[in-house]
Amino acid sequence: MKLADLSEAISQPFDVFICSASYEERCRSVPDAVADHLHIGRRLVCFNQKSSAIVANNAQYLLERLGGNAHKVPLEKGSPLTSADNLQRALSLTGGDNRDLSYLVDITTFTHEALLILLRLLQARVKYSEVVLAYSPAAEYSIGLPAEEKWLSKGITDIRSVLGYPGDSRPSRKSHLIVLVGFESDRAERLLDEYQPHVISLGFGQDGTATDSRHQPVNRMAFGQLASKISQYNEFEFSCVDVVATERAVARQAAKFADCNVVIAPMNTKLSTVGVAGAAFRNDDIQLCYASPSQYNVEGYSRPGDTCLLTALPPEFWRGAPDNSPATPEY
Amino acid sequence: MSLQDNPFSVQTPEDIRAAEVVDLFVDVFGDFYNIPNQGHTFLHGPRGSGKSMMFRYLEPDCQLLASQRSNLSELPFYAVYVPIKNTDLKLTELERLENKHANVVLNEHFLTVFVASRVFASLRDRACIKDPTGEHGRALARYLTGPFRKLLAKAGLNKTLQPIPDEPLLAVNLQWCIDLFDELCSGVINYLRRLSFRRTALIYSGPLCGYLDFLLPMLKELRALPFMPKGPVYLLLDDADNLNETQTRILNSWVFCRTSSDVSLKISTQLNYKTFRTATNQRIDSPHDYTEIDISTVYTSSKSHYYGRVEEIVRRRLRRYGSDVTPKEFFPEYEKQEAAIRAIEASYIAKWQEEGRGHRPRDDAYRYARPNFITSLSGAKKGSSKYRYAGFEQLVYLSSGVIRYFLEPASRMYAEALSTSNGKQITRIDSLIQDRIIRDEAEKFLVAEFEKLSEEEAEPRHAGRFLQLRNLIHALGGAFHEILISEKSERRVFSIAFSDAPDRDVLEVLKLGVQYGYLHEASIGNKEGTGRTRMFVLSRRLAPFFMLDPTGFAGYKFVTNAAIKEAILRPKAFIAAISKSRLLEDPPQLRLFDGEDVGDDEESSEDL
Amino acid sequence: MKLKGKNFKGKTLDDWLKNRRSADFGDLKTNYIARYNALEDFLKQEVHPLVSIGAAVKDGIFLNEHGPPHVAAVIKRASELISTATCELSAYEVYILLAAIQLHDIGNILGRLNHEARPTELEGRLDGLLGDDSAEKRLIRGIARGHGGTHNGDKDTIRHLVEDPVLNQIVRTRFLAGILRFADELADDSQRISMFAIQNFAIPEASRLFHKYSASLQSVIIDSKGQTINLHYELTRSDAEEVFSKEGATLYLIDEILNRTVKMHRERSYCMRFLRSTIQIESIDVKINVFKSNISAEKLFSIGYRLEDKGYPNLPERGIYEICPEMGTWRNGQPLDGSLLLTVIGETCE
Repeated sequence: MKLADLSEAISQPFDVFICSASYEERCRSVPDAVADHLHIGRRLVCFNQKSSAIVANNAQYLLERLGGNAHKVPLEKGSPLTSADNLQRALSLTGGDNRDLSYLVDITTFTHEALLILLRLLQARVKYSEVVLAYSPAAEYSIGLPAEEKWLSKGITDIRSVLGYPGDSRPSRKSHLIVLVGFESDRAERLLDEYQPHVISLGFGQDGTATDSRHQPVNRMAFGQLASKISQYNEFEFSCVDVVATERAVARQAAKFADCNVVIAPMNTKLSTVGVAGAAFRNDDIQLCYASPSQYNVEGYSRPGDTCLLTALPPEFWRGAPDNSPATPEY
Repeated sequence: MSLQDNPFSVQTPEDIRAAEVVDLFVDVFGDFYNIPNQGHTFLHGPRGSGKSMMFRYLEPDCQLLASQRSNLSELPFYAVYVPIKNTDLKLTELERLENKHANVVLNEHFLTVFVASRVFASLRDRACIKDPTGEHGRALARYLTGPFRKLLAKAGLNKTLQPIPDEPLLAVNLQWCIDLFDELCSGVINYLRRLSFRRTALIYSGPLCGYLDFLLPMLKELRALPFMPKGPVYLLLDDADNLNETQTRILNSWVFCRTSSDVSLKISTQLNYKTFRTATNQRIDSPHDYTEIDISTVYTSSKSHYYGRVEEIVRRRLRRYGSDVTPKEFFPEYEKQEAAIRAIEASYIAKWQEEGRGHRPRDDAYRYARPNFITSLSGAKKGSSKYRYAGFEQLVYLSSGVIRYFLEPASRMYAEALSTSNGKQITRIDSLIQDRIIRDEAEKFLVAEFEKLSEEEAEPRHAGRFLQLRNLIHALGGAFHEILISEKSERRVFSIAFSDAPDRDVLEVLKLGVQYGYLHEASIGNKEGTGRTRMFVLSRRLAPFFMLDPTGFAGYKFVTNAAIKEAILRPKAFIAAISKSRLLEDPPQLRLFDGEDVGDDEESSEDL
Repeated sequence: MKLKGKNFKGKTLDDWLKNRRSADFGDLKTNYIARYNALEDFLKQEVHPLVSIGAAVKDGIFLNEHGPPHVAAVIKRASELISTATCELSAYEVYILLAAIQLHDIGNILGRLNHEARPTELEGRLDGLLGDDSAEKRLIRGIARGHGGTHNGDKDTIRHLVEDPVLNQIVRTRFLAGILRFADELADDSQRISMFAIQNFAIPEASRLFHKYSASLQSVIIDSKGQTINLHYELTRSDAEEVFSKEGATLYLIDEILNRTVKMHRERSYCMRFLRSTIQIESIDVKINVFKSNISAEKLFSIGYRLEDKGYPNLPERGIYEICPEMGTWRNGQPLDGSLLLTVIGETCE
């Protein structure tokens, strides 16, 4: 839908609205659209505190735009524990520990890691109420550059398991790395080089599921660049926008090598990352990893679009693996 | 593509069958004699320098084939390969334990059971134990129901997850052990899972196994089984950089124990090992606690060995591919270029009597012919001929002592040649293809890497340092090119040595360069001849980018800390100063002319 | 809540612990006072009385007192040691130390040899009494084990103990192990023996010397201000005349006293590495009063000496090879010296 229609489209009240400030201009898109919505309660503005001035400025903008009920939640790119603790604290302050609150989450400009941590925290809190994800696709990524030169981030400073998704690695088993390839073939290549897995599965976005039709060929090109450097790999498709379909695709791919330790690196859209989280919720054996970039294309990362996708996550989404209910919040 | 399709493809050694490993492996233990010998050893080297292949070769299945023995017990040692992948042990949740609860004890338990699982997996998959009478199975069963059960009880595992099998089948018992230790690992991970979002300590009621109270006695007892070699057990821990700091300290504590007559630790790193302190904060040191090898230093100080090794590796790979072409034939030089260089050499030999600088006629020819050829192309217009980096010898030099940096470009060259071959077998790679790929690799290595790093977004502890390193590399590369095209007596220069002590800031930049492979570190006699000083060698992989001659002997220049600071802050000014013969000093004359094949590291050593 | 040594004179650690409240343990939810009481009761009733019997059955030795009175003596000595101006212990550390003291000798029930490492083997109810957390139990056992024996063949058992927080609590593991070890060494006085058994020759010959030694040690006074331990022995003419056999040799009681005071000096020197700055004991003053007989008040004479670190350190007999054994087997089992170095350099250059 158009961003302009978003406020009207949100008919139900939400207890909590969560968004993330970023250097991307589109971090303002959804908050701008819903700021004046009467039935949104507490507002949480997440931001990386040791980042560029653009991020700080956008965070300040969002706090002011979202009004008196807005609170900042500092995250730390280099310290997932700090980010998790601060997010947890903020969610507790909203009253979510003891009550089943409803959430509207603008996932657009969270890092993949922060988003996954947030989802795990929500899993421990959400019982029956609704969680709606808002995602504002970019009109263009890596502004102005031709398809073969587009880049969003480069290099890797650190590879780590995502907090809350440790998997269940058995030392006697071989490793299976699943990469949901986005635009960043270079980062994916570095990840493969570091891991040296026994089995590689590369996923690319299904035709027709890109958030914008212009992104599809870029994704394909990045996939092709990566695939050409690897001698043996398995291919699979996933949806860039359908959370449930992505979850199924990823689960299916993981099951193909059931006797391997599975590690998944979601590097495509945020919605597909939510699907990956779903697969990990259902299967504790799945470990999620995050390759922290050395550099972002801060100046030209993206140009905001004028549309928005809303995805309502049903209560079943938060279900854990069999015999393993999500951990209740503890301090 | 499999190895059969591309003879130079780089595969993970872990996946290669023993027969193939033995076929491909070139014995390098003459260069690294400590590795197959008893004693703890650290083996440092960048990815692709051959560490994992060495470890794979040490595994019992390869050793049995290579030594043509049929019984495991005849081997001099039993090596267990323990690869440490990035997020196998270094789980983010473990940070919750730091300064809170049982950080060392739990990390040690995790590491211990991880290794123990690999030990039994090795016995299952790599040991090739023949047991026609069931005697070995019974011996293992007796061990499991006796001493092993007591060990488990001491660790707090009174009741195992499943009862110890009372049947004597070897395979069944080995699998039981693997499952047990896998479950113990899983137990730790499940505990950590509950810890993910918890800020206070959580009781851990599971078993706890350590090195001295569990792993070491277990390995000693396993060694005593009839099918095992009488020699020590080697634990080959590959990529120990992937341990977190606590796990690294724990591993160092194991080294500190000096148990090498029973268990020797062979630890490989990619030059990013976190610390050499133990869990009790003592320092382990070479040589009394362990011996240490830096592959790249060995192979850049003994080029003749490295050349021979690469030649043999390529020869074996080509043979498996079905070709009897020699490596030199497969990677031919650019004949027109080499002919021109030979002509220049001939002229130097002819005029040596009147104008020669070196002791022998060939000295000048060797030292100046190629640099002069490169100089003659320096002013060439765009589109006219360029120096070509082609020929087996040049490719070996350009790989800078790391086999991967030969094989990967070779693999790309082969793929490109294949794409235009119309299905015909490839018997040689055209020099144009060689040159193009090599230049592209150099460009990727330098330009693409540094473009990724910006002061703003880089890891805080490295903020600014990457830019400084980039400046330094450009400064050194540019300076060495200026020297190459100058009239100096020594034109091939790849290294700098400090005439005074580099300060902390400069050292940090240099160390970053070493970590990322742009430089490697050695030591050389100081200017005064009274001791040694630090030397840093530019990676020859960058030679094409800076139009340097990567072949043969290369000298070094003495430089001050102040000069390097200048290079870091104002690289262009540094290069300009070099072209005016300032800032760098020649080493004492004697060193440059110590024989034909004195390399830039000939006088250097790994120890600093 | 912290125990402050400067205000602790005359008190004991267990009394102090038993008077704590749960709040004194900070965030810890467990009732450590109740846990300690349960542990103490269990050991007092069901384990300690059997320790000497077990050792007698297994090794044929008649141990001196290793039961509740000895435990009480160790606690008393530990309490005296920590009564210094600067020593402080958290309530949790006090619990850990006391639990380790309770456990330290129970391994004797399975025989004296390697008894230090045995607490782990005595499972059953004991494990449950130590709580649920494996790391906490391991910590207690590690401290208990450090009071003697070897660690992988190395007598330096305390050095190998890792300082690792447990349940959010900082525990100075080596410090506590040092207290236990030295307190145990000091708790070997006349209260450890049965005079009746000695006088009636009910002690087997092999064990008699140890009992006579304990009987002769009348008092152990820890003088924190003076940084010294005062040992007071008494022996009679008949004590001095008796000949004992030990490990195949014959010796007199005075020989044993001299040997044991040297051992105590070594233990002092060793444990001070881990206790220094908070607890400082720099010397041991020994006084031996010799009497005509047990019923005579007339002292014949006294012998006195002081054991302390003094004088310039002696050169070890085998020099560097004694301090650094690895230098004694540098290459191919040969010791490093000038000629071997030249040989190795030559070989390496070739």
